[in-house]
Amino acid sequence: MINLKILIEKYGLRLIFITIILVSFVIVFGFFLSFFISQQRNLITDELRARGRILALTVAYDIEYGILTGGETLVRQLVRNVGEQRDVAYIEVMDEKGEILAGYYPIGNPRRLLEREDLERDEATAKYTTSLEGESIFEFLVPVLLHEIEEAESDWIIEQKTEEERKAEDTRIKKIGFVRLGLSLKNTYGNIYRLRNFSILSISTAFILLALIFSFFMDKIIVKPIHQFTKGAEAIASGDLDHKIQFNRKDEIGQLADSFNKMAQNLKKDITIIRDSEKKLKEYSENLEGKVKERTSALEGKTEELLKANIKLQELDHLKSMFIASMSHELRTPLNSIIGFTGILLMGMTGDLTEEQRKQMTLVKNSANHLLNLINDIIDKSKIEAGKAEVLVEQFDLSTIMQEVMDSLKVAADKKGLEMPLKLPKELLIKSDERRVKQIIVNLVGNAVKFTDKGEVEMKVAEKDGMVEVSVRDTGPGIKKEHMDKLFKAFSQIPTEGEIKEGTGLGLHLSRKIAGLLGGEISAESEFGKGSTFTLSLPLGYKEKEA
Amino acid sequence: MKRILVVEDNERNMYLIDFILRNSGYEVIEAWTGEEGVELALKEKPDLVLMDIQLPGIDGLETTKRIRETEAIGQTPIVALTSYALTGDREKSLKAGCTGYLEKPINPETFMADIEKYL
Repeated sequence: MINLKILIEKYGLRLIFITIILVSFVIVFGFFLSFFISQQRNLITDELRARGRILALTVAYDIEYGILTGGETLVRQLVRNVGEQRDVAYIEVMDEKGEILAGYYPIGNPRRLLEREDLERDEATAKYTTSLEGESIFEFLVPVLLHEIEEAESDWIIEQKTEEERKAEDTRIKKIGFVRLGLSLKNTYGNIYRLRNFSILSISTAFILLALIFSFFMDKIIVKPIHQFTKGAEAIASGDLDHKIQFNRKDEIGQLADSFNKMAQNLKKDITIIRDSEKKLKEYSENLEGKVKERTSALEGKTEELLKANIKLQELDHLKSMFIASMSHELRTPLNSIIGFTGILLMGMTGDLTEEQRKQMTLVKNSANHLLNLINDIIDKSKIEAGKAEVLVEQFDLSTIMQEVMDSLKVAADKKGLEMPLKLPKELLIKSDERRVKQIIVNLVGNAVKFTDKGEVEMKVAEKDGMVEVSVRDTGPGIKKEHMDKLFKAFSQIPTEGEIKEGTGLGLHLSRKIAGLLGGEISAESEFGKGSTFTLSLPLGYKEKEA
Repeated sequence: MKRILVVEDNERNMYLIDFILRNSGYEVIEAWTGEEGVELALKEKPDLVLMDIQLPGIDGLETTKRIRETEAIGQTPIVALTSYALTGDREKSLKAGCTGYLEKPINPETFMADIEKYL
């Protein structure tokens, strides 16, 4: 199979076609030839058999007289005459006892195939053999009968005889001898074989010639065009789109060539379009590259600018911090004097003051304190926003802080007639920044006292899930819902009825920021006209945020 | 009469503190720089030192350390006058060896009570 494959690959279509033709020829021709030969052989054999039989019968008839008269010369002459005929292998004449009277043997002495007993009646019998000197032989054995002449003369008309009549006749007919004749099939068969060989030779030659011619034409009609197509396809594949296949034929190959040429033309068109597109695409891409480079360099410029701007901003931020620090110091120094000396005057250290003087000095002192608070709040705010606020964590008792806050604001609350109920455990230790926690609580309670005119300000502490909740509930004016979101905004104060309350507008804003700094939060609930509750929740143990 | 050394570079502040202390019956020793503070502390051996932290030359923290390192006056209570504005002044002053601190601006009404805790 592999060899066949290699052969096909090597010699291609021609080989396949020729092989198919030759094989079909061998099969068909072989079949017909063998059929023909066997027919011919049968026919010739039958003919030979008939000839041999007639010859033997004729000899038997002719020799009757010779035997009867005992004319040896006559018998020999007759035997020789017959023996020299074509195809005769041997002939012999015997008397009724089987003694040979005369014989002629052109190709040797035969082995007798038939005996007298083989003769059932008076008719000839025949047998076929191939054993004599390698030749095929037909042997005929015929009895020589004694005919009664008078009966024979009256017997011109052939009568239909019954079986009994025949048997009766047999007993009357007397066998006086036998003729044995052998006919050789050599000549006949030789003719047939010669014919066969000639047929094989001539027809094979004709077929091989035919195959060669066919191969030649196939080469011209099919194989060469295919090669041309192959070359054409290769040319197109390698980019030669102008390659054309010319045949000047109108058959299928010609049509194929036309289609091929059309295809090449279309391909050329398509490829031209594609190349144009590619060119355009390349141009675009080059353009784009240029643009990208342009933009990139522009962006790099921007980035540099941004970096510079960022550095400037950082410098500015630093300057701002420096400014605030020095401003606060510069502002504080004169405030120190103002607050200190108004304090001294109000304390009467330099002598008594009139009522009017005292009132005015108090205004000076309050204004100075307000200014101081404002400065402190701004410093706090900027510190927290800059992330520079330090947290000093230590363990302290929240209850004590609450008590201190209440004590410090008791005077103001008493002045307005407010109750200040305080609900505390004896001790509640937490870890946080004591000063900042106190700052928040002071802010919350301070606001409550400031805005509440009657009723109470209740302070409460509860511990829950690792958190402490400090609630400050008042019975003040409450906050309208629409104002709730302003509550924690910087420099915003919620409008209240009556007098405007003094404040920096930073208190709650800062408190919330500080609470966040300590890991907690401040929430507010309020019902307008009834009061508000502010709740500070803080973790029991401060944990530094992971930076 | 108890004597208090005030280390303060600002004239008006010095006058204010001086006035309150004298009015409350204390003798005041004035020092205008850190070096002078150390010198006067050693010389006068005051009962208490009021130390401003922001000073020209060596600051209040350094001055405090030097006083603490001087054996003769090492145990003198020192109260720092800290500024709210400057981050960590309180912590730094306690670390440097101050006994306590007061925040500026001072409140004349509570000033003496605060100081007397350390006497």
